[in-house]
Amino acid sequence: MKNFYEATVTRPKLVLDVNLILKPIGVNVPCLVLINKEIVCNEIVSNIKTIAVQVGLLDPIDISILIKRQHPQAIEVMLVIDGYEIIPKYLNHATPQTSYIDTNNEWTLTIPNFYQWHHIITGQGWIE
Amino acid sequence: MLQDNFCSSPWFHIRLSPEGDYLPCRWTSIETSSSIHNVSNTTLSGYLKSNIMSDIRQDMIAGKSPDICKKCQYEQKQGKVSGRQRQLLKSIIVESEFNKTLCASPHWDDFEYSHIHNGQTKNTPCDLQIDLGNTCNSACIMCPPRYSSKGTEEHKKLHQIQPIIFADAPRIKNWSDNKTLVDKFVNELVDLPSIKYIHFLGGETLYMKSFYNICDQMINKGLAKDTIMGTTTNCTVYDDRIEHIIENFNTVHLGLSIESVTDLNDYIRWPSKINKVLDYVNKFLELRKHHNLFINLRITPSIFSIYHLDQLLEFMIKNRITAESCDILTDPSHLRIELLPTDIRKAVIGKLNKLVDRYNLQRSKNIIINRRVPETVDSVIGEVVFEYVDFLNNYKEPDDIEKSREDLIKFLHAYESIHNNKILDYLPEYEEFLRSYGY
Repeated sequence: MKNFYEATVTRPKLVLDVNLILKPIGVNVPCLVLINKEIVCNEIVSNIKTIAVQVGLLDPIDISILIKRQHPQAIEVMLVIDGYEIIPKYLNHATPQTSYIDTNNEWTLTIPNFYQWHHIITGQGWIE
Repeated sequence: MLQDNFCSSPWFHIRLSPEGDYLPCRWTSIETSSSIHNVSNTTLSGYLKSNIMSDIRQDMIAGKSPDICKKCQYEQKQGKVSGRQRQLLKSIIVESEFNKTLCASPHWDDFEYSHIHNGQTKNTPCDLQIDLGNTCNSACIMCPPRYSSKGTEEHKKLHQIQPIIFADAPRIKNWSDNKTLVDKFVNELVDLPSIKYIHFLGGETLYMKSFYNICDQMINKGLAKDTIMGTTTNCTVYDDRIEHIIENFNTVHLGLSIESVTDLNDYIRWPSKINKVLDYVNKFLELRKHHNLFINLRITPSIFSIYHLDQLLEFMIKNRITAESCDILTDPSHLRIELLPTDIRKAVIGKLNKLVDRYNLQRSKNIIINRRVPETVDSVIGEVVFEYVDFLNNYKEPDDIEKSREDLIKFLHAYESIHNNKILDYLPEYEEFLRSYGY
């Protein structure tokens, strides 16, 4: 971008690359995954599954994962956004605070504005 | 290009010079700046909204780099963390993801407003550097006299002894000695809704009445509890009032200006006494245990202090003190590290490499812009050590090296004639080198 005018033109086109990786523990774990209320996975996960979606730069990111497990099944979650590891590194921001889903309760993560949120959770200093 | 030149600082930061003149940035050279705006005739907000600042913002929006940004541009070319990078981070803009972080910045609306309105802004300043004046109890040999009242008086004598090496130094009238102006300044702070960070600079701030006066007023008027206050001390003064200040500000960033943990510090930061300096450092470290006090070193290594830098860095490691990005001394030119003879240069590199091995220091994978985050202390210390190792390994000897070394001897003779000391009493390892140039 040569100048700020070009930034105003580019801004609406910018997206975040969201990669959600589901690793089944045990075999054939039924998973329902929604990103921003859209179903991106509604299937039985037997092998490591990567869900790749793009989200508008300024859009919030809401992730919901619901599994129907039978003991001792589980799903291990990894989340990478624009190349930055988010889960498991910052799993304290998920509800419940885990990257290992071994209950049939909903697992959620909400990120309002990714880069501002990332600045704060990584302790980069004060902002207005 | 916008990515190479844009800085968000003109949207939230301004500086006051020791005389009370407004400056657009803490990294701007005072010597090359002139201002019609003074604390006596312009408010803090008024200066941020002035035509001078609007013009700078317009340059930023156009992707240009104004002259005031030369220092940051130079630092970035040297691979150092620049002031521009630090200011961008306050707007959550990082160069590695410039386009996206600019567009996602919480200051986007402010930039866009200025884009539409010819550089104007509705903002008020939230990041201030306030130079209180140059009252100082020290005359450090590398310090420009405009930053030290004691240095100014010495330079008048030095100018008589070596007029080519030492320019005459005009005396400075501190704006903060004027009580009316100080009260006006504090009242303006109270009216600002947004002050986040205020950095006071001297002189020696802990030696200045105005420092305590302004801090006390900020505490009494309820401003301090939400404000991060920074200052720098040469560690030759400890006044109990600093404890009250540290207790009452939200956070205090204290920069310690020491060059060596050996008595070489006494020669360079004349007339300090290293035992007393270390006593005071320990008092600050004790305070750090109980308060939001962040301590870092503000060192300016020279041809002399570089010799014992390993000991200073070890002191940092042992006490978990960080430092700002490696500050390479360029002025006075005859104190530059680049004038070292090859054997001493190799010896210094060897000592630093031993330090790296002894503490198993690692290069950090990413550049750390904000070096004042407690969680990154270990990484920052490692980065500081490697910055100096890299600089010593890679610098090229300057073209004027022989003349500069001869000037160094004249510089030493002049200083030592008024300080009554001798560098070889502190650095006997330099005897062969200095004698060969006529010391």
